[in-house]
Amino acid sequence: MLQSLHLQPPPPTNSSSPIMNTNTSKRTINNRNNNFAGENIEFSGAGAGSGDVAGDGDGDGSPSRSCKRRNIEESNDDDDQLTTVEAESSGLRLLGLLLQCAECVAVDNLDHANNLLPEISELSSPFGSSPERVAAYFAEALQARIISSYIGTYTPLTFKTKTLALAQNQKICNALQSYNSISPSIKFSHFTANQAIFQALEGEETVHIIDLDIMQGLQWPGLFHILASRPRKIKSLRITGVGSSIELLNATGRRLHDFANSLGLPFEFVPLEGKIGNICSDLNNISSDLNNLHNNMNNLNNMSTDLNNMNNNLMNKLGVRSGEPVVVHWMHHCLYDVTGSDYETLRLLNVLKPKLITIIEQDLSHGGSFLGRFVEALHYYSALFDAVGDGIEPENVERYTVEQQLFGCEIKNIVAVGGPKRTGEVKVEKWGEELGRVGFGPVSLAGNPASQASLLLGMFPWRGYTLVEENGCLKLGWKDLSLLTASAWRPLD
Amino acid sequence: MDALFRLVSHQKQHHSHSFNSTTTRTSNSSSSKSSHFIYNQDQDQDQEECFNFFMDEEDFSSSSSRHHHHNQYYSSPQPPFHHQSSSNTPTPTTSTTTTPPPISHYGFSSSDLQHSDPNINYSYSPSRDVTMEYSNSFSNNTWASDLLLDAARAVADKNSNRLQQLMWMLNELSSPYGDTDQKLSSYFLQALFSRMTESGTRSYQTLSSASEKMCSFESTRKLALKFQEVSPWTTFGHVASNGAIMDAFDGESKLHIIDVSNTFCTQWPTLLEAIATRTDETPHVALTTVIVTRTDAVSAVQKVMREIGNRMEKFARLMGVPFKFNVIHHTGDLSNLNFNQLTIENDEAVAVNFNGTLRTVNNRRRDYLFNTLRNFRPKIITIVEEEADLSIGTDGFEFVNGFQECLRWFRIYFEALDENFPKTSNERLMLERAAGRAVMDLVACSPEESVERRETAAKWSSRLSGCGFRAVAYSDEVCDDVRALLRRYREGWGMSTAETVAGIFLLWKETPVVWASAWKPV
Repeated sequence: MLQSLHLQPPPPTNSSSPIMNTNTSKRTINNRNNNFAGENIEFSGAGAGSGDVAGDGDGDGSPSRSCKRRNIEESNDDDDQLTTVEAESSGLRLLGLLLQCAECVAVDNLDHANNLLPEISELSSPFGSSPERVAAYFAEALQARIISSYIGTYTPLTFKTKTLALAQNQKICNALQSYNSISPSIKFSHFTANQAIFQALEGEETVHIIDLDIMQGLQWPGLFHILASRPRKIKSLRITGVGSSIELLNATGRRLHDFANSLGLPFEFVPLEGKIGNICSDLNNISSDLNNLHNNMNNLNNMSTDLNNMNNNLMNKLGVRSGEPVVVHWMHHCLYDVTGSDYETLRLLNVLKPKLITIIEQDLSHGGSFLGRFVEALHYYSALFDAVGDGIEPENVERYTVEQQLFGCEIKNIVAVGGPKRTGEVKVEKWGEELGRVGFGPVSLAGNPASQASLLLGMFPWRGYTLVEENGCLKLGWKDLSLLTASAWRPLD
Repeated sequence: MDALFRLVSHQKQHHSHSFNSTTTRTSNSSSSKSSHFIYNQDQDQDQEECFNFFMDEEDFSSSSSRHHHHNQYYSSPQPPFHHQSSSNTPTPTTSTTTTPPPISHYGFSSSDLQHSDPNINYSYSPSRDVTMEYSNSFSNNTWASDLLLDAARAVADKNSNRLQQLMWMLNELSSPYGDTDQKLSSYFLQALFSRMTESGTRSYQTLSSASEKMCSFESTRKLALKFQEVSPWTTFGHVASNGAIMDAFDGESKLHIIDVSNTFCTQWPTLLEAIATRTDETPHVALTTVIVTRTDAVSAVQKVMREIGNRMEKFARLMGVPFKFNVIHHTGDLSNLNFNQLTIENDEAVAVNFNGTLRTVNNRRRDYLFNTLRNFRPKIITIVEEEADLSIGTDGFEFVNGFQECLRWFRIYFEALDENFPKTSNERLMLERAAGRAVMDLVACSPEESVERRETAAKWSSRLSGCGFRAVAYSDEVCDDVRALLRRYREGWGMSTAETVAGIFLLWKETPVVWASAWKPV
């Protein structure tokens, strides 16, 4: 069954750019209207490009003069070729400088790295071509990294007070909504996961979904819709939403509640503030438990009781009920650390053994060597910037907002010390592989989810996005670079 | 971009940097080696409390705290940021009004004492307390000014710990491409950073030469025109000065204007046009443009001026004004310019026009310049300058005060730019970057080298009066012209005169931002 797509048409261009008052052309001392008839010589702000070309002022018509008089707006073939060549060479130069700078950072030569940045900045701009925009944000990220290296503190800044955390989250959510209207990535993620979940729930009457990073919960109305349209009714639909701000979680819960009610779905929302991997350690001081384990190595009874207690507390906190199929969902990004402790998250999944795990991963490395991460990210975001900039003028405000608030923020985190998790902790690179190692096996998304995702993509105006099925995973890419990989997993026993 | 990328990245693919702990670092080799492992339950439990630091080996490279040793602020050999991770020990809270006593680090937890190895990097300790300290600033949206000002205070107090905390927050929040607060934070942070690492002069030079490389006639022209199209920031001064010059030159048949400006001759076409249309017998006009540079690197500017000169000449021909154009490149301080060596004919009436360039003169040479000018006896001097007191001192109280004024000034400037340019304007970006260089000059470079030290109208006026000049009031007609000019722009601009000071002010949201005045030698 095809889910309702909640399609939005792409926004009209210039939707939110203020119209500047440019009726300021003719300026004279005597208040008179001024027509610089004849040559289009512009000096003062008088009538830029007035177009009154009546012929040569002095009649010599020398070729050198007409070249100098070239109006920026008009172009001929030679100019086009010239600008393309220039653009490519400046793009290459930017690339080379960025890599050079990253190499300096990688070998701790921060002084030289810092010296390269002004040139990179001058060549780049968030309002230019794709390479210029990518370079702008990578240069900004490198600058931030250099400064943080000197300061010696690498933790990200998160607000602890309620109102500020809420404001911070709100900003991200707004930017994501803009992103949703200029790219199919988010809809692809939601749609594919919902399809897989729907299929896994065949024969089930209840479901408990744990969304590890729910934000505004934009994914779930789509699922509600197809569940509500099922012949076999859902008797209980529960979602545990994990997030950093309880206010935002409650707002999300209310919204989802309203939507579920309108569809006649019995719905319950369980908010969980914090990071999924840290919830365990918030509940029980792991180190003390482990201490006990060490000390009571011979006392196996104690050990299993301790473990059981830990697990029970966890399950309570998550709102898990026995007998109810659990689906865990997670959509990756680099805006902030979602899981806290990756290891703990894996352990939790192992204990929980949900019926289905759906994850959408960015095809980016989150750890490892700085230089490797940098080069991969540069490649990745070059494609992404190409994608969101495709067919849109460089001055587009919405695209700029998405790039500055989302991509720029991600790039900063990736380039920062410790990668996007911004901690020194161990990071899981490929969640699929890790899940495989702790007893999960892939659920193929080929077939129905794949063909429907393909249909979905076809409904969007953007060309250039590619959909590939590989080993049961679905990969959304731009041209031939994979951006997102959607996969699903179930316990093997 | 994608194809370009693969071309270059293939060349760089097979790097093998070995980031082993064989390189000399301050890191404790035993603890960093353990960072290879995924999860080590054998790790000392104490480290758990401090938020584990099993950093990726390579990440550790550019994060080594040895950089701290390079600058004067760090007297202790330990990484200065030992921050409490558990909330047991309260961090000494510092109110923003009192100056905290200089301390080298915050309190230690018991686990720190056990691992008193100074080389273990606790850099992931979250600085919860300091963000809480500023929660009001964040709620009221004054965080940028509050954090920056406190950073300046920390600099003045040589409180390196405090400075780092503030710079950490600023670094996390700032962006040269965000909103005004983020932009201000970005440029001021960069300047503070350069100051902290004693690399202000070098940073400024690198920034300037990077910008010079990109400079072309087209880009300069486009920038100047766009700026004039969206705001009267420069056109205000042009109209006022041209008006004063026209009035002073009334009846003269040979005019010579010595132009020392930063607006690339965009002032003069309208003057030439006025001369051509207003007077019965068109006078001869000579324009000598003086370009002042600190170093001998004149090439970019020369290129631009040559083209400008060509266009000026053609324009004058068009207007039917007999015209001569000359460019003088002066290296060094403007006060050293020998006005008498300029080619002035005896029967020429001379005006000297300063637009945005008096601020480049060394503070101690300003009176000297005005004295020289007085002896030169031009018919009139027209001055346009930005209204601020950016005489930022090198140390202590004078530094903090000056920093505060810089913050105030550049905030107004950025806000004015933000409201008058389109949101995604490259021209605005170029102006912001130029402002960023000015901030670097003021905050991180020595006063001797500074070319951005604006003074208030009151100060300039007192200098001029003291050196033998008398203010010339603008005629009513000129004032009307200025008001008419302002009406062509968006809301927010105004004009005012001051009781105590000669000349007129351009106001942005009621704040004087640009001052224009005219003077005659007594």
